[in-house]
Amino acid sequence: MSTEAKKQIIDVGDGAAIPRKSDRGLFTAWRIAFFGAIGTIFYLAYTKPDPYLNILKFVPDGIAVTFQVTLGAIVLAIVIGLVTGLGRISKNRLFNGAASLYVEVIRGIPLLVQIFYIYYALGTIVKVPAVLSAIIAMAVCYGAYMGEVVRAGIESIAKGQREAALSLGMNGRQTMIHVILPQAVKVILPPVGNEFIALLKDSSLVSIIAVADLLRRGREYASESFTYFETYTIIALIYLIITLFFSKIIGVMEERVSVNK
Amino acid sequence: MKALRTLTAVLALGLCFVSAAFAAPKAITVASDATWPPMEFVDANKKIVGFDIDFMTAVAKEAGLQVTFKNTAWDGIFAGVEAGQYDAIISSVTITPERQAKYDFTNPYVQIGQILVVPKAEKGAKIADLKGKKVGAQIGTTGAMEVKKVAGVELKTYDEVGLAFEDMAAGRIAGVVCDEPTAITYALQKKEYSSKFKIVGKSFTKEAYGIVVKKGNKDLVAQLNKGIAAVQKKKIDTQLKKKWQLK
Amino acid sequence: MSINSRRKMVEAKEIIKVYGSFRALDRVSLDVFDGEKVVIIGPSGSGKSTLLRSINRLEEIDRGTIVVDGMDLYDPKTDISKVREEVGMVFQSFNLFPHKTVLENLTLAQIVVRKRSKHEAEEKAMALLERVGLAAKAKSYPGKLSGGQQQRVAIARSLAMDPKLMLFDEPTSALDPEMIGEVLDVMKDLAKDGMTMAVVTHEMGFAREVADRVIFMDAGRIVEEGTPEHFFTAPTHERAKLFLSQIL
Repeated sequence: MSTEAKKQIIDVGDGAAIPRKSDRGLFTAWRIAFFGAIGTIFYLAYTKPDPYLNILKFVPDGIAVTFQVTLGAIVLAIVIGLVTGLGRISKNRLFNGAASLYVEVIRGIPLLVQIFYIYYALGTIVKVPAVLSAIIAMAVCYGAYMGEVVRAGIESIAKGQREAALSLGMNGRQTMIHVILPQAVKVILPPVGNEFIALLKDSSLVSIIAVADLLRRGREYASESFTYFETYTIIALIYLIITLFFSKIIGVMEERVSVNK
Repeated sequence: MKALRTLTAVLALGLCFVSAAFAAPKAITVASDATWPPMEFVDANKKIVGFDIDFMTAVAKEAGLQVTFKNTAWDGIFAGVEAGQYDAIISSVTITPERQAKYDFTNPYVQIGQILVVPKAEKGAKIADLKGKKVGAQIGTTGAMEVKKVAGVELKTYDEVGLAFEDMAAGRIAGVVCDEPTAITYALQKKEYSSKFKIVGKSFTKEAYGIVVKKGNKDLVAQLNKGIAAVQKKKIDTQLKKKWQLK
Repeated sequence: MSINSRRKMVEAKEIIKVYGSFRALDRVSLDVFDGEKVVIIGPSGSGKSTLLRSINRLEEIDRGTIVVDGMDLYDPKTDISKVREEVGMVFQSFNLFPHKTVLENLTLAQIVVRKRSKHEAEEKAMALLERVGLAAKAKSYPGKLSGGQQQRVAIARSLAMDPKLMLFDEPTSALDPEMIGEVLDVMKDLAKDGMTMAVVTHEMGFAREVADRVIFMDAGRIVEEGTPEHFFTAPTHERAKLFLSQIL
């Protein structure tokens, strides 16, 4: 079994680089970027309160919405991804077919189009608040990618583990819950972390459906004050600080898990 | 004496050349967010049309300018003129002191006002009646600013006013504030919406549209003002208002 | 004592297993009686592992019938998990659960499948670890154990389910030579206790000492079958003679 090769394949995130202790260069780059961004924001707000401090005062509720959308979407995406991943390896043809179809369809449609589609299509059927429909749209999209991560994670667990569990009289479900998934989680965690960071950044797309997230708050400020350059400078720095912060946390979490082994 | 006459002739000739060069039509690019019927929108043939477009074309003709239109998203349309991506904006831009501080405007060419559109069932007749509810407007418009002024009403901004109307049709917001001509088009003339929406009250602001140019571009403002004056004198704008059903 | 008077634990008839155009098992029939120790030997690719793995249906057969402890493996009414509860299996690569401690490896299936209490399961597990000489390693993770220790834990893990039959699929092939002995000792001990065993192995000494019956397979068929004395001293089949001359 080429377990090693499979493990490498699932490292496919497109989020901010997650720092590892061994990677000194990246770690230093992380520090410079993170503290540099914070320092720049403080410097700008202090030396030129108009407009920089005003912008900072204007956007916090947008940051809260960005978090709300990101966290809601990642939780839902993990649930969808788990079901989809299990479907993709299921011998049940209906379950497998449905999961595969979902993955194929979703991966073939740009996220922005999906956000529009779910927002307006859903709007004609049920009355869903904008934030919730943004969460659903993001989760439906990322659920498909998460499903592939889960599938690859499960497939990366050696066949012998499943056989050992089955030979002890466990059924498929017990084997999955007690033997395969606990091991797959360790393999899945890094790519899920990557997906989380990518989702955090992609959440800015929901500003298109009038969700008052960080980007939209920035756009609103800029559209009234005409301080486009200044506003987008601040918005970019805030996104940078948030993604770097989370990439660090995920990096630490990964280390914990791998040490535990 | 003869020398003086020769000099005068040369000068006159030179002036002729200069004025001839001046008269040659200068090409300008004008940005417009074509999502705002009937002022500017894209027709079935993907052409930008509307009152503003016809008006600008007439003004340009009178001013001796050659005009090309550029369909540009509203959010950032001002940044573009500042960056020199186009020479002017004609896009139902209300002249406000804040905007005047950053950009130069021509003389006003149309008077309009903001108005409130609500679902048929709504009893409220002004923005203040919608307290505790969400009211939509296009981002960075005077309509959005009017909603923001009313405490207790949550402003929801959209990239295009059409998306705000679509959200109101889906029941996500309780009202939309926009320019009266646009409100009439969406609430009264569009088949999908005329059965769902109504315009309430009278327009509650007095605003005037102007053409925007980059701060300091006095020449272009002067040329455009000359054109506007000519168009108004010839009553072309009155004909256009009739054509596009403006009040 | 007559083996034939005993109950059949395994009754495989005319089984065929095909991989593409390759016949891994070609009309193989095998009975294993209660308390019997059967050792299956043969060159690699002869189908001996496939035969063993088909007894608990880790390998699906294409034709034939297999009845284990009175249960027909391919009867739609048979719950295969129920059969597997009664059939322990030890793998060449141990297959301990790396995310669980040695003790948890032994208690997991007891709790989940046999529905024993945690306390009861742990008592049973500790007794078995004692028996394989690894009680001190109960709290360790498998990754910290040597290959021989891991395989002894794996045997104990199977025994924790109180199986009626134990299958061993080359249990010492992945071990360093100095560790083979400790694993074989555990297996011999088990044999002495009367466990029904089917063992695929290259350990001829073990076969001689423990087997009631030796089965020699070649190219997906059983070509020679008999007592160890018969097989090791007077094999009749040419392939068996050749195999023995190479291995002994």
